[in-house]
Amino acid sequence: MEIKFEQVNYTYNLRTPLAKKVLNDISLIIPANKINGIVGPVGSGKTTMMELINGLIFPTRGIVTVGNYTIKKAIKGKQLNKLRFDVGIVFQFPEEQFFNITVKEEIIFALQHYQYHLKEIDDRINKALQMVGLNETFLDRNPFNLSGGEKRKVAIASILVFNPKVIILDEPTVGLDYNSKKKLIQLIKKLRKNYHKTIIICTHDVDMLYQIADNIIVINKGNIIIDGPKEEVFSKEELLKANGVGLPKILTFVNKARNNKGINLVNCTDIKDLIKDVYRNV
Amino acid sequence: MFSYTFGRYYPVNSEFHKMNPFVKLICTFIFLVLVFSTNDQVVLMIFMITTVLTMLLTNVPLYYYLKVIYNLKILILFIVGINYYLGVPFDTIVIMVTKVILGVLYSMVFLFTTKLNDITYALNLLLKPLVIIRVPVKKIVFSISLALNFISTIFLQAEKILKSQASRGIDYRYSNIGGKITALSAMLTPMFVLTLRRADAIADAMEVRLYDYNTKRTSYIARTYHFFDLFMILIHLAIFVMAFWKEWLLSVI
Repeated sequence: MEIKFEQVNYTYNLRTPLAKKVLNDISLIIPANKINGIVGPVGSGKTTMMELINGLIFPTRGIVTVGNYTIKKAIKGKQLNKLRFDVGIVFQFPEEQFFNITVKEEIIFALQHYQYHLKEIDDRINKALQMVGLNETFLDRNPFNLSGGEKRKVAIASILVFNPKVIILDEPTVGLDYNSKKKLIQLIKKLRKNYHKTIIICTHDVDMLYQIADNIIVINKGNIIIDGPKEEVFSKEELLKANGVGLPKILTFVNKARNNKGINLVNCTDIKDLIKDVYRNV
Repeated sequence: MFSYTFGRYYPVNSEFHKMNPFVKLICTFIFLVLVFSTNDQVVLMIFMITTVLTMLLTNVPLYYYLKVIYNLKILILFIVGINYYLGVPFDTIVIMVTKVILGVLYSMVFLFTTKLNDITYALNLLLKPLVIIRVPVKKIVFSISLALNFISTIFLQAEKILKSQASRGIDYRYSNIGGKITALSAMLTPMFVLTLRRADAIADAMEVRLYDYNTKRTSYIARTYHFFDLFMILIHLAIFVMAFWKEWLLSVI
């Protein structure tokens, strides 16, 4: 599902003394079936873009198109719900988005409301749990008492249960330990490769994005600075630094090896490949 | 998602914003007592004019006041319905609804023009005389100020949960009554859990910063009285006197 922003503006608290413009005439295309990363400093408009795609807020001016849906104030009721079933969103702190007392209730919340057959609900729960790597023993547990990584998985499962075509993840690696982060990265890769989902990740974690993303969008002060394939975006070091985005550690190492020691290492996304290349060259 | 009109401070420049919060609270208190104690249509008309003038002087767009009244539509319909069912005459129902609307509007004038800290200060001064009869005013005001500070936390939390529900196809804004009830009832448990956790975190944060409840505290901001404060209190006292001399007022009109 392709997502298109055409000269989109968004202002919070419009027509009040607290009005704050967060998006300025942004135009871009987020391609389908790819992992797209949105990076930028705090307050640059990443979360606003994400909420626009899900129809949680509507553009002050301009058009946002998600597949066949056009997001504007007139989109309401059934049409809006159809959009929400096609675009799943996992917020930054899963704990703050839970509102049920068992994992099962949390996962089936939307399906139950739309009166799905019990058998279909069970099938979907099992599939969602399988996709995120949780087992059935979690179903009766309280989501508020799970670990950070497990909470994140339950949040993703509660989205996957209605099989969306687009999955948006807001700061998915915040507060996760090394192993949970690694498993989450594997899950995102699997969702794209095996289930052909369009994935959008808003994050400050450029190392993670360099590892998994196909495209990168850099946003600062409500303007799109650059967007394109990750190799192209991360080759513009000066531009990125000027807009508060650092380079991934692997790339910094490769650049330093080339500039300081004249060693040409291959631009690889995985640390293991980099180590092999270092051994080959040194 | 939530509207701006939940009685939040509206930061513009007006004489009402500059008023001493204690005087403003006294004026609001006098006005509310008068509005709810009179049934006279002429006096209510005078109150209505006073309220509209006050609203205009606050420089807060009238749209925000109207939105508050619009949000009260269910309450108003309930008052009308129950009184109609009990056989209360129509003009009495109109007076009743007018009194509720005027009360809410005047309270909004106070809330739109007064910051949270100023409300606490005003309450502290208002309740201070009760110290004589050994009422723990300090404790009460401290609890009220913490509770008031919590309102924004609770609304933020509620907004996050409603957004989470909306992203999963149950949008409170556009749902029917069933959807609205589902959304709100599902919100209660996490609100309770998360608010208690937040309260615990705040208590710990205050403790590690050596907050001692029994220590005497000073006020960081010195609040003064101006001519407009005197003017407003005189106007309200005048209305107070006039309302109590209703017959005299009616004979004059």
